[in-house]
Amino acid sequence: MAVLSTSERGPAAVGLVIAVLLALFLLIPVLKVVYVAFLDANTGELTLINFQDFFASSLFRESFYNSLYVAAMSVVFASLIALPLAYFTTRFNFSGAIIIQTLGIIPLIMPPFVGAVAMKLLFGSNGSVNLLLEEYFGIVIPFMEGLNGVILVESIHYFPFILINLSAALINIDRSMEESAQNLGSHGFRMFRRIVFPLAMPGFLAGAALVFIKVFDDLGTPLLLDVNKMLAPQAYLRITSIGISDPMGYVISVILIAFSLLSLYVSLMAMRGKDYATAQKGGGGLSKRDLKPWEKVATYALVLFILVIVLSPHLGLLLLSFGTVWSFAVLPDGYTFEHYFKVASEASQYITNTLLYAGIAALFDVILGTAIAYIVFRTKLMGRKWLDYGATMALAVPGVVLGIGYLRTFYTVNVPFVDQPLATWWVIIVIALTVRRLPYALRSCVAAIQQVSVMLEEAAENLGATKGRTVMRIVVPLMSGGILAGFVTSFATASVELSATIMLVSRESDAPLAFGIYEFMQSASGRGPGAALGMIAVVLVGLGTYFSHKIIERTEKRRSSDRPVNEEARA
Amino acid sequence: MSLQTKSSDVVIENLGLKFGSTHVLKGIDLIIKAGEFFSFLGPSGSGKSTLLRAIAGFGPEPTGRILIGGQEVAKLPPWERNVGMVFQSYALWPHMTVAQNVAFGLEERKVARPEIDKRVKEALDLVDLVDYAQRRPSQLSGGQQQRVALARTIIIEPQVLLLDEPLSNLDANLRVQMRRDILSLQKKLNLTTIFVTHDQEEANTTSARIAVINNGILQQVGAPMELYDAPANQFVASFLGTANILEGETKTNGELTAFLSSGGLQIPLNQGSDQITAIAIRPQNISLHMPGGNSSEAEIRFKAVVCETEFLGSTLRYAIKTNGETMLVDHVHKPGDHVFAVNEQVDMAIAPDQVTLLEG
Repeated sequence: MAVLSTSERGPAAVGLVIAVLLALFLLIPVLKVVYVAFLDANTGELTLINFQDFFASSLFRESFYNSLYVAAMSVVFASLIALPLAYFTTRFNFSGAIIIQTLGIIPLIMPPFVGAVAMKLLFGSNGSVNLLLEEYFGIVIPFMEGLNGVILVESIHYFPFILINLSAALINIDRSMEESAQNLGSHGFRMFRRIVFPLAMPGFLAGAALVFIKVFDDLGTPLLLDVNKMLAPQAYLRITSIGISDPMGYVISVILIAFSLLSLYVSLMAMRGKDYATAQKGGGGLSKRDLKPWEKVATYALVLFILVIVLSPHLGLLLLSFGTVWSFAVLPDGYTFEHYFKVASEASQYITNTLLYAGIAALFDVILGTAIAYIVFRTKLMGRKWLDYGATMALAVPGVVLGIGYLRTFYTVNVPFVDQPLATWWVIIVIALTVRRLPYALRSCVAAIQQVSVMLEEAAENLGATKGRTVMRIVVPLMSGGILAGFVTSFATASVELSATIMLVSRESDAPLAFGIYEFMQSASGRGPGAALGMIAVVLVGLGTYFSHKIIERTEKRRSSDRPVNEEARA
Repeated sequence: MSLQTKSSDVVIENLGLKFGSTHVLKGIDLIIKAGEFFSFLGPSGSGKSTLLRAIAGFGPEPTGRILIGGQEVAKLPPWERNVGMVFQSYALWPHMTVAQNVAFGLEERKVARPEIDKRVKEALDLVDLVDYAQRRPSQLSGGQQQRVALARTIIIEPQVLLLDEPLSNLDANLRVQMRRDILSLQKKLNLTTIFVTHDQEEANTTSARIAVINNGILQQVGAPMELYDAPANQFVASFLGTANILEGETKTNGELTAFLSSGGLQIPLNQGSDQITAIAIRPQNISLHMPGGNSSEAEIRFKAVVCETEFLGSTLRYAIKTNGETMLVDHVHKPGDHVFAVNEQVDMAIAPDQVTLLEG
């Protein structure tokens, strides 16, 4: 390494520590998983035999196809929900726009598996909707049968990823793009097809790739819907039933990683060289028009219909948490607070564990995120970009894979004093959460530091503050809004994480909320308390998300009021 | 040259336009002749771009009438008006090649493919970009993008060409070159052209006539030199070039008429009227002299003192104080000329026939 100036020694040391941590808890476990997948279990030699075994088994082949099918169909259905919503909000002066935008936080506030059981009660063959359909129309639609159920739950849950990306892309199209087409004689659907949609395509692809991979990796939903012939459940079941030496779990992990990377690559390619953000200074966005009365009615009807479907898991969960018995009936037989009392008396450790784990993880995330953001944007250290890439790489690692990687890597690492393997100690859950949510906090911190002008730091240094003092007195206070928002996002999403932690929970007393919900939902009698626990999680995360939005909003407002008055009008 | 243009005149009658409750354009009346290069000149926020966009059919529907080649277009949607607009940001579609961008308008008009290909080549040839046909807009420089936007617009053979601050995104050298290119293209095609700018030099160098617009109101229409020499009001006088504007009133005493400024400066006039509320004198039409020199008959002299000097290269600009007024005086700079110092006593000479009378 080149000789460092005095002012860069501190950041270099911090950067090195972060690099080591990332290597230890992200890179090595993942490489270990990949390595083991290519290892002959008997001879210890590198081999492709595990992959041959995998594709030779009809169970695994079917699981593979099922996972692909479910992920692809979920993208299709999520697009069908997201397209009209994105179109209405960006094209028309439509007061439902705020409701639609708010839908964007649904995947954040509740993981799909939480609502899966409630969806079964609403849409299953003996569920509310089908009971009504049978009574009035004499038909039963297999919404929730087998793979259909997974597709329905996942697409209802993840469509906001397409909605958000597509809306952002549409909003970023400058009005002049459309106006010049109109000026040259084009309009209506033809103009939409030739100009607007191609310009929004990168945003759509980015959202679609995200949905694909989230569904492809998801473990909780298929498990709770008893659909085991998919990749993630197979990996989980092999590891938990046969043991961590069974190579099939590793082969599946490699496939999951490969598809993660593939879809990241696809969305990257979709965006590259197509910076279609054509919005100009002084107001861009497509021109909006008012709806005619009948159009308004039709639009509201459609949006309401979609809303009801999208909120059905939440409604179902609410009913389930207050219902006494709910079986072969449109609605529960009666209502009670009993489940909440039961949860409060028997399952409070899930809640305290979650607050503890997610709190520590989020704290570490913002500390690491701030440090990485500072090193990347404020120093010239060699390889600084790799800290960013390394931390962001966690996005491409499915939770199941990280869980398996930790089990395999840290089972033999004994923690002194507590005298147990690191892989079964509760701290490993915190580490997993920290690594999984680091990319979220990092993006917040990066956005925050990019808004802090370097001149403000130079002014402090000019007045005699050292680098360290400048960071503490100028940079961090100015970033505080972004850091806080990063903390809340990390905290909220960490508290409902299941796929990595389900692998790492070694005893009930260490288990977090998501694991508790999963445990409860396994049995029919546990559904009520499980739903109550789910509602607590939804409220917890919902509040967190609400506050993080508020914080960001407030910071932006303060920042914009600090700007000097614009004197452009004098030009 | 096979590109045809059906050059048309544009008649605007009592045009008004509102954004919400704000009146952005108020009672505009204008006639732009067929084949004319015409400019809308005004500060930002004056309504000049809004007026241009109204001609193209963008923005809220105006009141009043817009006639292009005699046809009423104010109620037509943009795609049914045959006017070509070049946007300030060029608005080239990034997902299409240069050739696809240029072909767009003809495709929308359902022109046959071979004909489209032929005319795209002609249009690109006209702007010197045939070799760039297969590039993406993002691979072109600002000036090249500008020319693609021009080609894309003129290929549809518009009745009027609308240019919305087309030079503002280019750097200074390119701006002058592009200005000439646009002008020669306009001459070649004999195309009615309306050019929106806030830059008086751009308007002066290109246009046969200019409409000066401020606060949504048409201030004056005329050839560039007319506007400069005979501004109709204070706004036009100060917006085009620099002017000393003195507010006050005319006084008549028997045969003699004079303008009395509110500061107390008295200037004899050849004629006067009660409507005159201000006068304008260009800085280059005032001269400074050593005190006590002889004055010629055509001028009158005042005692003054120099407050500030600014060296602008070709001219020396003095700020002087005389009879309660502060005025700017420009001397053409030649090496060896006497330079008056700050606080020096001087004589200021004004020729009454160089004074512009401003009404209301």
